[in-house]
Amino acid sequence: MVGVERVNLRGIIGMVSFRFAGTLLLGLLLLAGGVVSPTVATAGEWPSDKQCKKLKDAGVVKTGWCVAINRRKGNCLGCHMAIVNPWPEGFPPGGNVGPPLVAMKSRFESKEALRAQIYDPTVRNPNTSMPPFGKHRLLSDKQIDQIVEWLWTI
Amino acid sequence: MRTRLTWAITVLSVVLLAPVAGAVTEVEVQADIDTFQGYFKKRFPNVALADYADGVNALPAYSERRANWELLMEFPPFDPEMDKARKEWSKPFANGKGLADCDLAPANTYPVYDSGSDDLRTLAGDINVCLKANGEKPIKNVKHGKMARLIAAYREQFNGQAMAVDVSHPGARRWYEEGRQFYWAKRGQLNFSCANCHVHNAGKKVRGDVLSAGLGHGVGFPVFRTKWAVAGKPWGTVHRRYGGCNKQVRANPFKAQGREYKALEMYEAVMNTGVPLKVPSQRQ
Repeated sequence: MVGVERVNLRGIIGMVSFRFAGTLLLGLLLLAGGVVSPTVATAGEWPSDKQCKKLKDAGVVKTGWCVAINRRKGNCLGCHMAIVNPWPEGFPPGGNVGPPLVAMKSRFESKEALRAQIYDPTVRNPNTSMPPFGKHRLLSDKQIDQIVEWLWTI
Repeated sequence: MRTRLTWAITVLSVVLLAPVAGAVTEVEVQADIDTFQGYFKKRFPNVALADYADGVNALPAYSERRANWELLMEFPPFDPEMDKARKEWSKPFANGKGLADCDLAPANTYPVYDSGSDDLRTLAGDINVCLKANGEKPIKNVKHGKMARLIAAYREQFNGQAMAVDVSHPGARRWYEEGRQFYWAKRGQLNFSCANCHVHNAGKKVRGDVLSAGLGHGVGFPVFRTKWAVAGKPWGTVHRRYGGCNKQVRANPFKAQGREYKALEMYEAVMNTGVPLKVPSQRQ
């Protein structure tokens, strides 16, 4: 069931513009309801900002999530909603300046492409509102890698 | 090689000569206003030009919280402060004159270009010039406190009057152009221009906060801000806010009443042409 959904989604993604792909996917995922269990379920529960500080040896995916949600680091939720399940209780949702973070594997052809987008999004769009996290040293190379590892699971 | 050099020289001379040959025309400024206001009209078709005086409260994304704000405005938190401001405004100088005798321009026409000094006159600057001329101490802090209150006391007398800044002098338009460049240029470690947030993403959410529209920026200033009230300095002039904004994008803030922010104030004031003053205002 999950497999079928994914194939269909990829087909649709090819037809619609990239910009709306995330929103569309989100909608379809919601429509599918409980049937589609998001791949992130394997990563278990997502720690909140506070819980992140106490985490030890969380593994690269969870560490990536922690770097992403930290306001002084990635602060990704400032502009993006992230579709993870279950959402940490009481944790504020993300903004809507950028597209929702979901189905990243369908939107980027490789981890390297996704990494490049975080490192310096102005390459693809000079007037983007997204900060060049690598180029301006907002995040270290290692932190970007960790975020990519997390994003690749959602 | 030669053509490349010629090309480089052409580009260089255009860049270098532009500020000198300078001055955009009045027609171009009007076209900028039309484009800017037209953009917001298209983006928020149900928000009238005058509504932009309410800042972020006017935007559809803020509708859930608008009721709260309206309730707050029934007994505005700035009321006692405004009483204080009006008292300070009408307190006579030692020479018997007062601020009401100062040679100030109508509040809806600031900043005013002065061709003699090729400078921009702001209300804060003019108040200090007047204080000095009358043997009073000019106010050092132009970001909050007494200066902000005096500006509020003067500007509220012009509430409802539409912004109308004079750009007929080429010098005024050079300031305008400088401010325009500031507004649209990316800056800071986060690499944001003013326009990135307040034009392209106006009305969108950054976490729980709604980004205000660039249209209307400044007409409600000085503002009484909840965030600032917590730190004991509730009032802020528009230049205080500019500094805060620059810090938020991790850029070094410029000096209040310095060249950069005066130019920026000029650009925003011109973009606000037709938006009525609504002073003071309360913001988050």
